[in-house]
Amino acid sequence: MPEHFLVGTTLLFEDLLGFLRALAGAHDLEIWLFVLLVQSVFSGLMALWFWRILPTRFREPRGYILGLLFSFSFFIPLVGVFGFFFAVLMGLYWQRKKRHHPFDSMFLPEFDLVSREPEIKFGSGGIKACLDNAAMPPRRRLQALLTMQSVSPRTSNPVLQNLLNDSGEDIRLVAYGLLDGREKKINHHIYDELQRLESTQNPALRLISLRHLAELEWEFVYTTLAQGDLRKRALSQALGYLDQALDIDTAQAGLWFLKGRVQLERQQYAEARFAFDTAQQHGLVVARLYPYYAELAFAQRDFYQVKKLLMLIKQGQVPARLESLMQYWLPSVAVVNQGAMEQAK
Amino acid sequence: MTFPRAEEADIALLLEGTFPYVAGGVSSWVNQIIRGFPEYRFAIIFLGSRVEDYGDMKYALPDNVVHLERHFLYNPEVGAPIQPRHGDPQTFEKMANMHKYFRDPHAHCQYAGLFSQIVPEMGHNGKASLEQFLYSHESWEYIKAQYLQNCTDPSFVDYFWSIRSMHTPVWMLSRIAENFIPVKAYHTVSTGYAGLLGALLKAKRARPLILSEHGIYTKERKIDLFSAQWVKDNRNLFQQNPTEVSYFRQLWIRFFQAIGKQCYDQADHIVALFENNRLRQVEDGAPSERTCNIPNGIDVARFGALRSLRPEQTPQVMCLIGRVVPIKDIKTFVRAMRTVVNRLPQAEGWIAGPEDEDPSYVEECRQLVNALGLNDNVKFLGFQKLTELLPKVGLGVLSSVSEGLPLVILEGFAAGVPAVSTDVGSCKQLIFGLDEADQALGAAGDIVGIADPQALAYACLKFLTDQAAWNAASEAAIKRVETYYTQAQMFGSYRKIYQQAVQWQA
Repeated sequence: MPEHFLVGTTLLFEDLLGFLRALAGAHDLEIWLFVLLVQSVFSGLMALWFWRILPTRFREPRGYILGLLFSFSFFIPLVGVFGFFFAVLMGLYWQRKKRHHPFDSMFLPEFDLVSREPEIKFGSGGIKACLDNAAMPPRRRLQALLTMQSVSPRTSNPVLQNLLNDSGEDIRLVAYGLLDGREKKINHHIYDELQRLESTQNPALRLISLRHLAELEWEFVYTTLAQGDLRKRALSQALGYLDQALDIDTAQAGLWFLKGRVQLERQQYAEARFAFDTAQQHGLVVARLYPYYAELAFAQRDFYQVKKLLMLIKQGQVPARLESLMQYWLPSVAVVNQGAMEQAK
Repeated sequence: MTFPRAEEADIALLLEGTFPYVAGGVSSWVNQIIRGFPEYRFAIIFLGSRVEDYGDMKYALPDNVVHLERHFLYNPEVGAPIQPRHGDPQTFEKMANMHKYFRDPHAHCQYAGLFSQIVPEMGHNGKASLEQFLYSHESWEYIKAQYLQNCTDPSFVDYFWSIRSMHTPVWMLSRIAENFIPVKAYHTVSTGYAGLLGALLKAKRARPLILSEHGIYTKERKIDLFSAQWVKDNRNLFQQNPTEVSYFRQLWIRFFQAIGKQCYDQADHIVALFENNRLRQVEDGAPSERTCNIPNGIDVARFGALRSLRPEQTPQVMCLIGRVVPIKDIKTFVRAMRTVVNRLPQAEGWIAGPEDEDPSYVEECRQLVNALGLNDNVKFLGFQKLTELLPKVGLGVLSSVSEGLPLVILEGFAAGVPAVSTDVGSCKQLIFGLDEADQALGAAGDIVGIADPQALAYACLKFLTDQAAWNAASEAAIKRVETYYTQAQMFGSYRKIYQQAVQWQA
């Protein structure tokens, strides 16, 4: 700051000197020109110096501000500069009251997509009908296909698999891309889990990995991604992992439950029943097993038992997807109900 | 490394990600065409993504390639210094109208000619220069307005940078076009960036443009983009519409559609390999009267000589000849091998093709072989000389999800090897025949649906276990390729097009 003061004072003094010289006796052209030159140089320096000490927000636009300072200094020597100095002080005072903030807080705007996108309707048949109908416009079918991304793989995979033979190439390829992506994800997890399994001898950690591996192999079957020989292979892989896991801890109800489901898919009914019973012994809630016992009974053609088990399911909360099944199997609810209650007692 | 340079040439081949740096069907075709026309001097522009994605040349350059230059669209260039500028409102209005045409060519056909008007302004000092696009006030205002009007993704920042990164290669192509040597005709082997370069060259130099499409580039890009992980979607759960792909995905798809359409608009000859692809081109905006079909053809005599080298008993070897990339769906082939080996334990599955294009996919395939316990039966052979490979093969297999008119099937046919393929591209036509006379020759193998390993396996087993069925298919294969898919037929069709293009006078 003392440096600024010194430079400023010197410039002011020189400015004053130039002004006095001009007043003193400027009677010929040369002197006038000289005075003007000296005045321009000092005004320029004055402007530059003054610009440098200005607060940052007053410095831009640079060209205009420098021009203004120069003009004050040049055309109104002495008074101009002080006048400007005074103006800046006033400006600073007023700005303090209503300073401009470059950033302000505001409410998040509502991002309204509804008005942007055309309304999509798939007609009375819904998405599945739209996909099955090759005569529908391709764009509409593609949109229907994209909704499959948000439908659970268990439900959407069979639909996508059907579309692999569709006449529209785009449809075929997008369906393939979706299925391939899902499969890749499971394979990726299996690969990671196998690495973890190989890297540890700790039984607790091995148990976790084996369980995950069995679940991932089961996922291939459950979501219908694996078919034919590959499905058989996935089931036997899952079974292998489950047996290894149960060797580590035989009291895991969840593992027995999964083993029961795997055996049921393999049509090994006695082994499936044994696994479900063991799961129950180790604490699995029996109500969770009713649908699987019913499936077992159905596979073994014991239809009375199927009805009985469905009755028991009906007493609890019936999942929506079982509603139609219930209606088919239990037309005379009252009769069977009574029998089942007695049996349950 | 030095490349051949010339002051001028007869025909410029515009090649994106193919000959001479990538081995594959299209590259072999390009090689075949150059060697088939020794009377013409060829210049080549190779367009790649990044320099590190490509190794050495996979093909020896034929003597009649007199000029080669290569450009990499995603290698950062040192740009002009950033300077604010106003931008010319009239030029930006033209650009806005051109984009209206891109969005809906039928409704805005009056703007079809704007591309040719804007191209001359794309140079360094032009009103539509890269600097104007990147740094002008008008450009900013235009991008802002477009975002407000159309974008359904909440992030303006992502929109802004998507637009910039998407369009910057266009100016790079314009610069390439500006500095290229004079030639008599341009021949692009795909739409996409190479096709756009062709359109730019046509607009700048007014020489004929030929387009030969093997696959449909726009369609393949679209499928890739549907599942691409790198495209952002910033919509939250409540903003998402499950029937719509994210806006940035749509943006990229539209970009490739627009540059594809530009290539169709500018091209004088639009060649497809088979009728379905030609119809697809017309559907995508190619003027029907400029389209035609020229199927691939091969040197039947060269491959026919291999028949005498075949062993008497058909080897139980199924061979997939192709690059190890997702579009070939190698995994379905591997899965099919599981079923085949369950029934024929000594059967082998060979995968013969370069493995350097997508190493992570190669790794996935190897893991699958391992997981399915097929290490003794499935072999990855890498790039192979077909003349040495084909006599040892019992059955050609293609499990691709997309194909054009695969040369490997024809080459196998000529060597007497039938094929089982997925129902893609023109494979059905190759296996079962196109018209009545062709169909009368018999089936040269079988066709199955895509991604159906079980069906693929059963179709293969049919030929591997029944010598009579194999013999019949082999005979049909030889007759079909000799009758309909010879090199001479293909060269004859291209000779007419080349002559017309080279001799064209304004």
